[in-house]
Amino acid sequence: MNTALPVINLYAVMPQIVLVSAATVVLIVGLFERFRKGIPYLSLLLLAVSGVVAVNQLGLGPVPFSDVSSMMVMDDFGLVATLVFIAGAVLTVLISISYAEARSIDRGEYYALLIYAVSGMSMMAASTDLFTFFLGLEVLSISLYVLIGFEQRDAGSNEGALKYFLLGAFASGFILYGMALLYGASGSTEYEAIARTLGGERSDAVNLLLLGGLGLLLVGIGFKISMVPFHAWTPDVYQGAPTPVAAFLSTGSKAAAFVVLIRLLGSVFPGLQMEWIPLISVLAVLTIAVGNVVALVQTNLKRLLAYSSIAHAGYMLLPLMADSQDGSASIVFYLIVYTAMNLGAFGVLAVLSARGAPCATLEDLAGLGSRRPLLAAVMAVVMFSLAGIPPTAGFMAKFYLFSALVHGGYVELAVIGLLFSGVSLYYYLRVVVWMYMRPAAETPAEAAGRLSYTGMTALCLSALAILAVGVFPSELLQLAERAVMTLP
Amino acid sequence: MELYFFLFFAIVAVASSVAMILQRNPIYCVLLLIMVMISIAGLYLMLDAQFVAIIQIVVYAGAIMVLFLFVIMLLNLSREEGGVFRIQKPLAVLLAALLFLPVAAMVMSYAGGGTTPPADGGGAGFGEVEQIGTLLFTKYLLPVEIAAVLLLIAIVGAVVLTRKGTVSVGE
Amino acid sequence: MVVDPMILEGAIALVKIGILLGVVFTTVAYLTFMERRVSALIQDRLGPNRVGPMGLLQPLADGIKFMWKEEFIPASADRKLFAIAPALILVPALLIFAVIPVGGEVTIPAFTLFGLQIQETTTTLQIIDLNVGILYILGMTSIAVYGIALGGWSANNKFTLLGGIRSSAQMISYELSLGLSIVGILMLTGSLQMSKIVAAQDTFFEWFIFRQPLAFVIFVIAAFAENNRLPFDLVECEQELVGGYHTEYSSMRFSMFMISEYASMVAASALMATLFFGGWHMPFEDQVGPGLVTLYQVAGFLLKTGFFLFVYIWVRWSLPRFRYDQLMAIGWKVLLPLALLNVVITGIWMLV
Repeated sequence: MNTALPVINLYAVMPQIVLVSAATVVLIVGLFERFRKGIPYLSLLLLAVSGVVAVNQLGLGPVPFSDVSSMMVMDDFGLVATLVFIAGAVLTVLISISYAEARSIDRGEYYALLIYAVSGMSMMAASTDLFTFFLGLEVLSISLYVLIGFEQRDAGSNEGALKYFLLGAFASGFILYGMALLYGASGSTEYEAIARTLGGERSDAVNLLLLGGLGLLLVGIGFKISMVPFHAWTPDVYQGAPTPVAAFLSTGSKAAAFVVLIRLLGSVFPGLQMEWIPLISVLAVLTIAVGNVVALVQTNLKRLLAYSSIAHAGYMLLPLMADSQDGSASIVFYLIVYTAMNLGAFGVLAVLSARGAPCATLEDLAGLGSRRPLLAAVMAVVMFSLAGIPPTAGFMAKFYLFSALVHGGYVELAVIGLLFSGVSLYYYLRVVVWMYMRPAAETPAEAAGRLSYTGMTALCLSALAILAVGVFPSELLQLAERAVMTLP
Repeated sequence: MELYFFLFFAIVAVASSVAMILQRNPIYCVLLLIMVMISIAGLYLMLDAQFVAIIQIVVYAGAIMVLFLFVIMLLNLSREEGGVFRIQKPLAVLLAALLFLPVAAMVMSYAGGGTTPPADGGGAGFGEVEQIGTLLFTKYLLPVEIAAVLLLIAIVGAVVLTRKGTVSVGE
Repeated sequence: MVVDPMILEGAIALVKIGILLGVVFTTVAYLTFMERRVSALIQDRLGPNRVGPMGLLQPLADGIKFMWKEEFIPASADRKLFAIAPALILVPALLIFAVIPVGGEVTIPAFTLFGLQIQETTTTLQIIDLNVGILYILGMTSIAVYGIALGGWSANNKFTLLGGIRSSAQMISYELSLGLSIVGILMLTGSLQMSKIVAAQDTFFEWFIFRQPLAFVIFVIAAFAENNRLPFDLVECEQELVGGYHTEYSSMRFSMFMISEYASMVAASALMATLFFGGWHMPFEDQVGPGLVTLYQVAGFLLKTGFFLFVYIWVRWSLPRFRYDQLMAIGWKVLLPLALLNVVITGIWMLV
C-alpha cells in the first residue's frame, strides 16, 4: 500500500491554519474561568498575528495548495479578502467586550466561534474548488447560527438563530444541488475544470446542467448576501441577534459571499454571461428598490440597518455586470468601506446597549447629540457615509462603483442605482435628525456612567478610517485593484 | 438479473419517498425515509460502491434517522396539521420538476451515446475502501481537514446552545 | 448433466445459510436453557431439570408454550408498527452472521446426486466475504435500534416508551465506542474484510487479544451495552419499567424479542472470538492431521464462542445494574476517550 503522497504547500493555506489554531487556542483558554477577562484581548492578539501572516504573503502570488488538486490557492485576492475579514473581526471583538459582559455572554466560545467564522470566510475566499468553498461556507454558517443564538435567555436571539438556521440549511441544500449538477456537467468540482467545460463545445444537456447548477448556486449565495427575493430573513435575524454579532453578520458573511461571487462569476462562468447578466441585473435592481423603499418606514434601528444592508448588497451586485477588473475592484473597495461603515453603525448601538436597556429604536437616539457628543458624531459620519455624501468613504465607494458600471456600458443601471441612493438619504438623515434635533423624552438608562473604552476606540477608528478614505482613497483603491489583478 | 435488482431498488426507493411525502404520521415518515435510504444503498451496491452503500446505512439509517425518531418520540408529535402550505404545494411540484429537468436531459444524452464525463478514479478497485482512503489522503486532504474543523465547531455549538445557564459548578 | 458453476455457487450459498440459521436457532434455544441452569448454579439452586434427560427438552417445551399463548395487542397500540417491530430487531441480528467466518476453505469432492454431476468445488465457511465486513456489522447493529425503539413506542404505554427511548440513547452512545475500539485492529490489519482480519491472527501470539488488550476490554463492555444485557439492561429493568420495551408483547412476538436478544449475544460472542481470539485459527493447527484440521478449527471457533456466551450469563448473574447517568458517563467519558487513546497508541506503535 505505497501511495504517492502529494506535494503540499502548507504555506499556501497559512492564514487559514493560523486562524483555525487561533480560534482553538481561544476555545481552550476560555475553559479557564480565571482568564475570562483576558479572552477578548487574547483574541485581538491572535487576530493581529493572523493579519500579519496574511500581509506577509501579499504579492507572493498564486500558490496552489497541492500538486494533485489545487482546492485552495494563495493569491492576493484571497489575502486581501482575508485581511478585510480579520479587520471586521477585530472591530467586532472591540465592540463586543462591554456588550458581552453586560449580557453575560462573555464566554470563550463566543470569541472562539467568531474567529472560526473568520477562518471559514477566509477558506471561502481562497477556494478554487466547490468542495472547499462549501466546507468554508458551512464553517462560517454553523459558527454564525450559534453566535446568533448565543443569548440563550433572549427570545429574539433564539428566534433569529432558528430562522437563520432553517433558511441557511435550505440555502446550503440549494448550493449542494447546484454543485451536483455542475459536477455532472464537467466531471469535476474544480473551478478550472468547470470553466474549461464552459469554454469547450457543449451539448444541450450539458448546457442545461450548467445553467441549472449556476442558478441553484446563485439562489444559495443570494440568500447569504440577502438578495431579493431571498432577503426576508435579514431584518428578523439582525433584530434578534446580539448586536455585535449582527454587525459581523451584516459585514463579514456578506463580504465572504461576495468574494466567492466575484471569483465564480468572473473566472468560472463568463461563458454563460448571456444568461446570468439579465438575471442578475433585474435582481440587483429589485434588491436596491426593496431595500431602500422598505427602509423608509422602519423605526427600529436594527431593522433599518438590515434593509439598508439589503440595498447595499444590491449596489454591490451591479458591477458584476460590467465584467471588468474595474468592476471587480470597485466591489472589493466597496466591501472594505461597507465593512467599516456597517460595523460603525451597529457598533454605536452595541456600545449604547451595553449600558442598561437595549438601544433599539429611533426614539432611543433622541438627544444623543447633547448627551454623548462623540458617539453622535461617529454615528453621523457613518450615516453620511452610508448615504454616500462626500467627503466620506461611502461617497468614493459609490463613485467608483457607478463609474465602473458606466464604463461597462450600463448607464441605465447606474442611473437607477443613483436614484435610489437619493431615496436612501431620507432614512439615513432621519437618524441624524433624531440625534441632534429631538430632545429625549426622558433620560434613558445609558445616560449615566462612561461608555466602554474599547468600544469607543473601535468606533473612532472606523469613523476616522471612513473620513480618511473619503479624502485619500487612492491607497485603498490600489490595494483593491491589486487584489483583482491576480484573478484569471 | 441486474436489471431486476435495479428495478426493485428503484421502485422501492421512489415509492417510499412518494409515500413519505403523502404520509401524515411523522413516525411513518421516518420509517419510509429509512426505506429510501436502504434502497439507495442497494443501488450503490449495484454500482460496486460497497463502502458508500454501507456508509449510507450506518450514517443515515443508523445514526441520523434514529435521532429523528428519538426526537419525534420524545416530543410525541402526532399528525401534522394540514392546510398551512396551500400555495406552496403546487409551487414545490413545479420547482421539483424544474430541478429534475437538467438531470433528465443529461441521462437522455447518455442514452443517445453522448460523451461521458470522466469520474474520479474509475477502473480497477473502484468503490473499495482502499481507493477511497487513498483519495481522502491525497486529493481530498484539505477538505477532510476542513471537515474536521467543521465538526469541532458543530460540537462546540451544540454544547453552547444546550448548556443551561451561564456556568454550572460541580455536580 | 453437469451443473452450471453459477448455479452450484448459489446452491452452496443457500445450503450454508440454511446450516447457519439452524445452528444459530439451536444455539439460541439452548442458550436460554443454559442461562437458567447457570443462573441456578450461581445461586445454588437446581434449575429446570424435569423435561427430558437433565431438562434438555426444556427449550422445546418453552417454544410450544409460546406458540399456544394468546397473541395480545393493546387497543391503543399502533398495530402495524407493533407487528413489525419484533421482526425489525430479529433480522439485523441474524444478518450479522453472514460475514462471520466459521472456518477456512473446504473442498467438496465431485459426486453425483439424482443424476446431476457436481464438480469439485472449493468454498469458504463463510456466507459472504464482504470487502467492508466490519462496517457491515456496525451498520447492522445500528439498525437494530429501530426494533426496540418502535416496539417501545408502538405499544402506547409509558413504560415501554421509556424503555424504547432509553435503549435508543444507550445503543447510539455505545455504538461509537464499539466502532472505535475496532479501529486499532483495522489499522494493524489494513483491511475491513473479515477473512483478512482472521488471516492476520494465524499464529497464536498474533491473536489481537495480545496486541489490542485495551480494545478488547472496550469492545466487550460496549457489546454488553449494545445487547442491553446486565449490567446495562436499563432498557428492560423490571424494578423501574415493568418489562421495558416488550412489556405489552406476548406469545410468539415476545419470543421473537427473546430470540433476537440471544441471537445478537451469539453474534457478539462470535465477533469477540473472530476479532480478538484468532477466529477459527487454533494453536497447534499443524499438528492435526490434514483431514481433521477443518473440523478442529470449526470446533475451536464454536468453543471460543461458547465461552463468551458463558461469560455473558456469568456477568448477568454476578453484577448489579448501573444507574442511567452512570451508564451515560461511562460510555461518553470513559470508554470513548479510552478507545481514542487506543487508536493513538496503535498508531504510535505502528510508526515506531
